[in-house]
Amino acid sequence: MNAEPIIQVSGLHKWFGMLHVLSDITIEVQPREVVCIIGRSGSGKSTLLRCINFLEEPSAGKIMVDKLVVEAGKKGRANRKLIHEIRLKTGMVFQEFNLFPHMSVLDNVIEGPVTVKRMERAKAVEIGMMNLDRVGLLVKKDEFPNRLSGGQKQRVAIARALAMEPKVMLFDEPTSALDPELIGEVLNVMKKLAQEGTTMLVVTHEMGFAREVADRVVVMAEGEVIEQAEPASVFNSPRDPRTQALIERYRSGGAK
Amino acid sequence: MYHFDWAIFLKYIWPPSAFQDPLIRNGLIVTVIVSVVAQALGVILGLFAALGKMSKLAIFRWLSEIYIWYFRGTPLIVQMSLLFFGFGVTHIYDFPTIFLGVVAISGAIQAGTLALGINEGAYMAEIVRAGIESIDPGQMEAAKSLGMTFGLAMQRIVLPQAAKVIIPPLGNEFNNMMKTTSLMVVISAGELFYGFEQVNARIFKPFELFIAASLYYLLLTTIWSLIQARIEAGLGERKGTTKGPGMMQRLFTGAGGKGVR
Repeated sequence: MNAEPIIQVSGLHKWFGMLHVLSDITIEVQPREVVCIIGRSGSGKSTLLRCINFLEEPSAGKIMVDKLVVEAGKKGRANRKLIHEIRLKTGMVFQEFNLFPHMSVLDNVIEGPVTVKRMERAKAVEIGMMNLDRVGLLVKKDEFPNRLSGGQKQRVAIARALAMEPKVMLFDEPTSALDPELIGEVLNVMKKLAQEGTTMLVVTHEMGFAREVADRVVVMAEGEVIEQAEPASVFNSPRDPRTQALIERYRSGGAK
Repeated sequence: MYHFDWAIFLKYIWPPSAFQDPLIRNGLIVTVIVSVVAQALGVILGLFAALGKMSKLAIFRWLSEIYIWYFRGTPLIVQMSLLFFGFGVTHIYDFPTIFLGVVAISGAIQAGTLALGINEGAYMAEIVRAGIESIDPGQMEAAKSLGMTFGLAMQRIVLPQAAKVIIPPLGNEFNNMMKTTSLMVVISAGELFYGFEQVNARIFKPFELFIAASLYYLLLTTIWSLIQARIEAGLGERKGTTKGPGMMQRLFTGAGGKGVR
């Protein structure tokens, strides 16, 4: 592996009250790497992703994103600033898209650059249009989100995250809320991003995608990382019995 | 048998002749301006109280709770009297007349507006909070993931969407506000009802005069209902959502009527 990971999570714990949802998680993501996190529902994979940009507050451990380190439990202005900078370096795509319904597609995409980065509107529009083009939705730039299909909404959400020009893209089950026939268009966009060298950390139930696109697969169960390796090794010779069960169910057609 | 004085009645329901009496003309102007200012103050205070109530910090939550508890739990007329007479006699604040160019704003109008606005804020707090809570938390998360601060996310993402939920009850609050300004009569602020009271003190025609007074309030609330219907139709159109109650329904079902606070 390379020397300098872009994301490094070490010794991460998360409790929701008494519930220990993440237990001593340590993972790394290298620049230009695509890492898929798989596991059954409730295994803690979404929580892990949400801890990386602090939508969930880690209970213990350390998060490093592009040389910025935040330790759990620290408070104060300096810490808040670090979290803010980490959020600028990470783009997030949500299961439920979370597009801003009161703004047009293009306004959704340029909102971050204009209000957060204080970019000139003309420049932001240029970047916004380029990213809408990347997801193949430039023609929809003046529509409102409620006029788009689920797959189109998710592609706009991807463009919105890309427009902030993050170092890493985080995907939180990006196709789980979609009708089956709309999943393909989103996965195709993600594949294209991967081919362009985008660093991606993807929580997913799409085993086919993980197998085909990921450089590395992280398997989680009961709040722990139980296995991580290249997809071929995870899918062809899983070591942990829980991974074996997960892969087995995928092969027998019940991907979820 | 009572002799209904048509001459007085007609003089006071017909605006051009009624407005020759400065008590009525100025009273109407004061009522409208005080309503707008007090409502605006109420919206601002309500916004802060709502955010306070939803704050992670206990001190803000308590301050908001106490504010809402007191101002919703005591009569407005008491709050207003306490503010004007109580603060005056203790010299906490004497409410001196403020001069804005050629306009003099009496202490009573200042105190009345303040009391109305602060009282209204306690009611607006619940309305604003309900509006904010109606917005999917995913919106705030998406905004934060783009690097927005809480304040920016509120301003750009959450409040513009919450406005759609807040504006209809806000309209009803304003309707109520225009009527409630009449309580300022207890501190002798020169609003519309005070004007009619003063005329009545001079000529003693309470039946004719107070019918006339009620017609002016009816005029104000009816005009506002029309404006409100337009605003809400605009909101619905833009978002493609269902319309609020229609004009006739709004006028005759007493939407927003809440009685004395």
